[in-house]
Amino acid sequence: MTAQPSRITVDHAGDHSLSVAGVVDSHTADELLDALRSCGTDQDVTASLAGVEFMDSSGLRAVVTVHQELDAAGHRLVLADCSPTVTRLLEITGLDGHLNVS
Amino acid sequence: MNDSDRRTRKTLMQRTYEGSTSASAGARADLDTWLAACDVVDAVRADAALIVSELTSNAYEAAPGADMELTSSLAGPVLTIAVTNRGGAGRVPDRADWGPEDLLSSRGRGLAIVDALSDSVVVDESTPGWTTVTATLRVD
Repeated sequence: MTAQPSRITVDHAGDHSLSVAGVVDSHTADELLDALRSCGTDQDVTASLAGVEFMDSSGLRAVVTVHQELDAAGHRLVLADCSPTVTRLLEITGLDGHLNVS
Repeated sequence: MNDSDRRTRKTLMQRTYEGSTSASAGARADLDTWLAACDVVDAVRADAALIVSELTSNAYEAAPGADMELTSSLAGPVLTIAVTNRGGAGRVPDRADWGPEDLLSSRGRGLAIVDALSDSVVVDESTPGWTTVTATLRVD
């Protein structure tokens, strides 16, 4: 069987807020990174992850990278409405204690 | 399937994927279809999807463009998920060692997630030029 390539969709709710849906893996992680970076580092950024059906360490790397970039600029990346699969990933890795999860 | 069948069953699945960033999606889908047919519960299937995603991503990073092989077996309640690729596997970090900064390094760190979800992770590099990483976990 041939699986469909992973896809994500990103909806910008404002200049500094977006919602992400779909599958974040090595195929789509760069798209997530670009989308998060497009919000800039001059304010807090909120990413709603309610529609994320699957995420692995590739996606997590994108999130941690932008978290650190915003942190260095004195702002926060806020992960909102994390789906169960994201919540589980954050727990497994212990990142729930390091990232801003609302 | 009754309980006795479940304890004594042994089944195997094997697939080969081209080395690309799409290999993970194929491996997750194939493994999940097979585990569902084996009556494995959703929570374990979700962990298995994450494990195989990390193993195949790692294999791709070790040898982009090279085929990789997924072999999974279920013997009673014990599930093994193995991915073989050319090249190295990267270090399996000690659980106490790894933190958020580890996830920023380019490869190998996904194995920390595999380690956290599995009862054991074995890296076999006994065949020169090849690496097989085998994760074992219980499905009950």
